[in-house]
Amino acid sequence: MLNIHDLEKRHKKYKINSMLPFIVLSTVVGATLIGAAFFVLTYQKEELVANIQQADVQVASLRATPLDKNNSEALLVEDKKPQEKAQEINETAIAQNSVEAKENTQSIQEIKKEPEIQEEIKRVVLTPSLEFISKIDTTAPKNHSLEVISNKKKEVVVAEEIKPVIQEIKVEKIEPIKMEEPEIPIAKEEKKGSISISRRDEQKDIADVIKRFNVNHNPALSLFVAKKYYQLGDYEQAYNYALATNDINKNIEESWILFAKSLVKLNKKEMAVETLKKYISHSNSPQAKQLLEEIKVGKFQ
Amino acid sequence: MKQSIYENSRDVFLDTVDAKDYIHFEKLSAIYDSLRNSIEKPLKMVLLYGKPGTGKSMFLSKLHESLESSQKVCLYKTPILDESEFFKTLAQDLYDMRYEGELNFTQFIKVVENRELGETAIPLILLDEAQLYTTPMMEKIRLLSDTRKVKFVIALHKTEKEDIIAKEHFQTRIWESIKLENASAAELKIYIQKKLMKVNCIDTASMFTQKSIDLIHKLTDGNYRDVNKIVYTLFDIYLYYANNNPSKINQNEISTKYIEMAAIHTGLIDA
Repeated sequence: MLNIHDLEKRHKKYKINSMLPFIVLSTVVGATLIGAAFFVLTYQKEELVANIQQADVQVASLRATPLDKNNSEALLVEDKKPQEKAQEINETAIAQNSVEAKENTQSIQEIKKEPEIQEEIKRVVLTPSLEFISKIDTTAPKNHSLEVISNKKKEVVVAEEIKPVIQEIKVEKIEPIKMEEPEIPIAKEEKKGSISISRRDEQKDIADVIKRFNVNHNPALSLFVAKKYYQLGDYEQAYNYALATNDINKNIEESWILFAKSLVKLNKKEMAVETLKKYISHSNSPQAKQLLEEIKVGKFQ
Repeated sequence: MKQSIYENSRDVFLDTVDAKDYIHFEKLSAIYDSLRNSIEKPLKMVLLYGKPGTGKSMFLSKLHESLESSQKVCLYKTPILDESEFFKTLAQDLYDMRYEGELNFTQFIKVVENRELGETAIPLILLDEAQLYTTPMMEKIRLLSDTRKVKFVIALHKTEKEDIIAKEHFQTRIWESIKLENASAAELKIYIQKKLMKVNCIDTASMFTQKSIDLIHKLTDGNYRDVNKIVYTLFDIYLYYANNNPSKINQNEISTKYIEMAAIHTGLIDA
């Protein structure tokens, strides 16, 4: 007899279990997508905020610059408060020192200007004209027209100041070029040192040729090896490979000469002479004769 | 739809081996014809093998039923493991000879060899679940078939042992093997619908759509025994809802949910 209720429960469980991987997968995918979207949006938002801030700074600088240049009585609305405060301070100061007010107006105005400049410096970091305002304030605080002129002068001064800097940089730039020049001989020295590298290559070449010689016993290869060893000053090996060449082919003149030369280099002069004599009797080689003479005379050592 | 229809539909799928329940369809008919041909050939043994639930027993039953009228055929659905009992049963069924005491192989083979067949066909012995016979017993069956006075059709599961038996007993003999396989989805649809049609359950037969057949095939892998089990339980579920909550039944098609519930009940789905 079927227990349908139990069967329905089991079926429900089975369905959930069978759907679980899909649910998990879709949840993971969904979460990933949401996360990615959130990240992208946040990133864009941050970028947007940064752009807005940058724009604000630019706007502020744009607002600040004409004020600095014109130095008109109207400051930015935001800048008015510190100015007003400064004015209040001025007024109180004037009230307290009413008698000395007229005499000290210049100094009061200096005090008044200082916070203004500080504020401007804080707000407009990149405007170079702010510093010279303070200088002008100290020299000619009241006269705005003078300030304008002084601003212009300042610009000129700044321009003048920049010029020598550029010149200095130019000088600095030239110096490393001069430094590069002596580097050339160093490179040349390295090239000289590369001889040892080429010798290593020769060793490799010799090893390759020896391998080939071991396989096919070609006398041309053994003669090549003998020559190379002779060139490298390894006279024992030169002797061995010349001997091997002679064993394979007795009629190679070059090999006999190399063999004799190697013997001389190995302080076996007598043996070299005997060998050459035997070879000359066999081949009548003029080159061998010449070498024999040279060895006998001591020209070849 | 009356509830008795579900009941009738359910009972068709009772997992019993009855030649009357044999369903003819193209592939099975071809295999059956092949088996008939094999028996008519001068072969000593015919091997019928396949996975459990592929219809081996049904084939033997069908063969027994169809040949019974024309020749001597003995079907042994369960193996007789006692040797003496086995030969005594064969002597009784083939030659109507009753033995009171022990009957060993030597005695029985003499009986077989001395039998004159005349114009009658060679008696056929159908052995189901032959994988349960011991190796020495299988060797004796082989020796009996060598007399050419008796023919064997052996049905066994496709197991490792089947290969051993084939190697040791059948390899050097003239024999033929027929492999039975699970049904395809198309065959399964014919199988289910034909079974239902047989008992005039046309309404329930038409409820099986390709989708439901595919699901049943997926769950059972086309194994006839599992198909019988799942469809039996399926109609049992339908019967329950017909009695208790008829609104839950869609009479147009078999519910996927109910197929899955039937599979859970029969253990085809682990839930």
